Amino acid sequence: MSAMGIFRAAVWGLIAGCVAIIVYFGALQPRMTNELPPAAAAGADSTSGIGGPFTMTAHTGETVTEATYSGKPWLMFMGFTHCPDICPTTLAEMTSWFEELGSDADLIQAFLVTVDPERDTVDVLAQYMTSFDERILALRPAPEELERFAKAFKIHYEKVPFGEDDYTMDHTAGVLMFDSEGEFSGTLDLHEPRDTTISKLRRLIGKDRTT
Amino acid sequence: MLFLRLGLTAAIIASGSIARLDFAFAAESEVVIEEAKIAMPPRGAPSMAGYLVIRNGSDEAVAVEAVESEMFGSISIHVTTIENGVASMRPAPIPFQIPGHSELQMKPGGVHLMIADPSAGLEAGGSVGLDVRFTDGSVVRAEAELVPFGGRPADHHHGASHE
Repeated sequence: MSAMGIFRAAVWGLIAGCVAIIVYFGALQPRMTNELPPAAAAGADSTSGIGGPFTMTAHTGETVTEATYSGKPWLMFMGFTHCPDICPTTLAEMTSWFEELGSDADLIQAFLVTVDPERDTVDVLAQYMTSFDERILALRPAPEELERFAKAFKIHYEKVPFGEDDYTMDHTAGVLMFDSEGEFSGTLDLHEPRDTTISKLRRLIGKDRTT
Repeated sequence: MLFLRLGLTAAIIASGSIARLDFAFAAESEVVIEEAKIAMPPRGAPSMAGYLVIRNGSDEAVAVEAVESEMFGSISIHVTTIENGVASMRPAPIPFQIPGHSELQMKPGGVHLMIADPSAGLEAGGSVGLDVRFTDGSVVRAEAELVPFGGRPADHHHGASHE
């Protein structure tokens, strides 16, 4: 076996170990259960069972509910402004997708939902969002509303102590897509090729040029 | 604690943050830092991310103890992992080991620097000196380019793990 072969075997061994750890913790960790399925909600009778009513404040000050932008496909990303790495990266990517789609992106409604309403006030979000495409709306749920919303949309978030007197938020990664009927229709992954993302978005708005 | 550390280390390796050097760098015998970048923060955000590629061309493992700069109040090494669709950010295990003939590739959604408290205004296009201090007492200075927020480092294509 060559040195490279041994190295590969070692890496695969570590990957297998890592997967075992993930499976072990995944099985033991308490997951949020959908105890109170909201009645008569957008998407509540959908096959995915993902969706429900919500009321949040946008960074523009307007109140946004599940009805405000119904009829449009949605992109939904969970994040928070104290997140230095994947949140700004995802929002900058989203901004560049919208640039590429041009006016077609007007047909989509994109949301950043903060999972850290404690620190992300409407004023903080208003300042933060000036760095990104103006079509992306940041939404702030009140803390109890975030809990209900997370259950209905099957979103995971968790406050984790960090350093001496700080905390960070674990949160569902990726961008969730909902079609114009409010049906959950998959996710956009930051690591997938850009062409894949753009064609998924064109399909979502019904302007897929290839089919 | 040990178990947590092993889990994080395994996640770092599985994410491709540590890659074996290929033949192009076989002749190097020292530690080199390249592609140092700091992404400007969105307006009002309290911290920003930095990304380095630290290449260890020597036979021995090296370990990063700290990254420092006179320009910033705090710099720490963090790891973002995405497991079961959930993103988590944790402090990286310090000292951060880089095996011989391997490189650490920091990137969004992986190992990165979390940088806070700049002592002066920052502008995209400028650069800032960063000192990477190793456990053997050596310090390697890198000049980090300030790139627009969300600016991601170009994919880095010479590690054997990219095959």
